[in-house]
This record gives sequence, structure tokens and C-alpha cells, in this order.
Amino acid sequence: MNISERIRSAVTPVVQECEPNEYTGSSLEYAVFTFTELPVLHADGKPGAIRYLIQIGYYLPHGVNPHAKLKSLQNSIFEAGFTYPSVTNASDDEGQHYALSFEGTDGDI
Amino acid sequence: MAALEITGITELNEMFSKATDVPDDVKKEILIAMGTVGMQSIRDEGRAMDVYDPDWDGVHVLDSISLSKPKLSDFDGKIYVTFKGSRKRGNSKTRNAAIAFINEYGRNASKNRKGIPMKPFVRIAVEKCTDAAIKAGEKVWHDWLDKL
Repeated sequence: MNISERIRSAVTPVVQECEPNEYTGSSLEYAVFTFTELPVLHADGKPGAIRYLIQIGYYLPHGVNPHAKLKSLQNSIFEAGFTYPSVTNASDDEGQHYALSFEGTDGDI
Repeated sequence: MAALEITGITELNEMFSKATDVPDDVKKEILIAMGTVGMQSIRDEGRAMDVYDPDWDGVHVLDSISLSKPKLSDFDGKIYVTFKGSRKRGNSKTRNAAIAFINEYGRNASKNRKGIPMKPFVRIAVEKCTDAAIKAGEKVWHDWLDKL
């Protein structure tokens, strides 16, 4: 699986709508994700692995209790082999928004 | 009978003591060197990721990045890289730190506003510049050691 597939397979059991970079659907509850690749563990001028810095934006309306889903998301991401996500509350007057930040690696270059 | 004599141990110990007794102004210089690398990295990463304020054509938010004064305590030192100031448009005022926050984490579109895709430029800049920041701090320390 590539990194986008790994992220989606961790997220969609908890939040069904999950798209890379930008969400263009009509659901009020959804996740978007972005990632950055950093080549690491260099030897003979080549990387031995890729380190991924991943961020998921989880959006839902005001008035909905987010805690159970946030916990499920964090556990699902962790069980998929990523680090346990930290959560930043980026909500505003338009709705709830939580940013989950975590990392992954891939030794298959 | 052969004899082994060692000289200079006292002087060597004194030198090691001096090397660990870094003066406060050198510690501050180390922090400034490291913070300057961090500041430039955040600016570069922000430009690469096209960080911007969609409602503003004035001074770019990335030009508001600045370094605090270094602060020392008994056990460590800190220096902050921040987004200073704000921009005013009509009656509304928005802090540059808020604009940077929104770019870092993104926001969704609605009928009242444009969406902004998340661009975690600060997180990525910090990850990328860690080694260079440490090297910059080490250079200041080594330059001071060479003068001892």
C-alpha cells in the first residue's frame, strides 16, 4: 500500500469521508490529510527509509461530541503502524476542527 | 627502573572546567544562532508551500517572523520564533500569528469564506532545520572554546 492508502485505511473505519489535500464532497463530517516525505538513514548516498510527517484535519459540526471518535481515530492510526497522534484544536466559529499530527516510516524504497 | 611521569593533569582539568563554564553571553549567542536558522527555515518552507493570507495583499505574513530575546535559567535556555504584529483591513484586525496558525492547520470553506488547505510549514521547517540549528550553535561554542 502507498502512504495515502495506508492513511485512508486507518481513518475510514472511523470517519468514512477521507480525502487527500482538499475535501470536495458534501458531508459535514470528514477528514482531509497531507503528508511530507523526508528521506532518512542514508548510506552510500542513498536513503534507507522514508519518514512521513502526516497531518489529518478532522472536521465536524458544532454541537457534536468529538471525544469518542477522536480517541477511535488516534487508536486506529496507532494500530495501523503510525506513531500515536497528537491533537490540536483548530476549531472556529464555523465548526469543530481537530488537527492530528503523527509520523510513519517506510523501509521499502 | 623505568618511571612514567605525567604532567599537565591539573592544567587539563582546569581547561575542562572552563569549557563547561560557558558564560551567559556565549549561551545567548548560541541560542540566537540556532533561532536564526529556525527562523530562516520557517520562512523558506512557508514560501515553498505558498503560505499566504487570501484576504490580504499587504505585507506577507512570512515577513513578520521574528526572534525573541534569549532567556536563560539555571538549567536551560530558550528563544522563541514568533509571528509578530497584525494587519488591519477596514475595522477588522487579524494577528499574523493567527494567519500562520490557519495556514498550518487549514480551514474549511463555507459560504462566508474561502477554504485554506493545511500547510504544516512550521512543523516541517523545524524537522528539516534541526541538524543545521545544532551545528550553528556548536560553531558558536567551538569558536568560544578556541579562544580559551
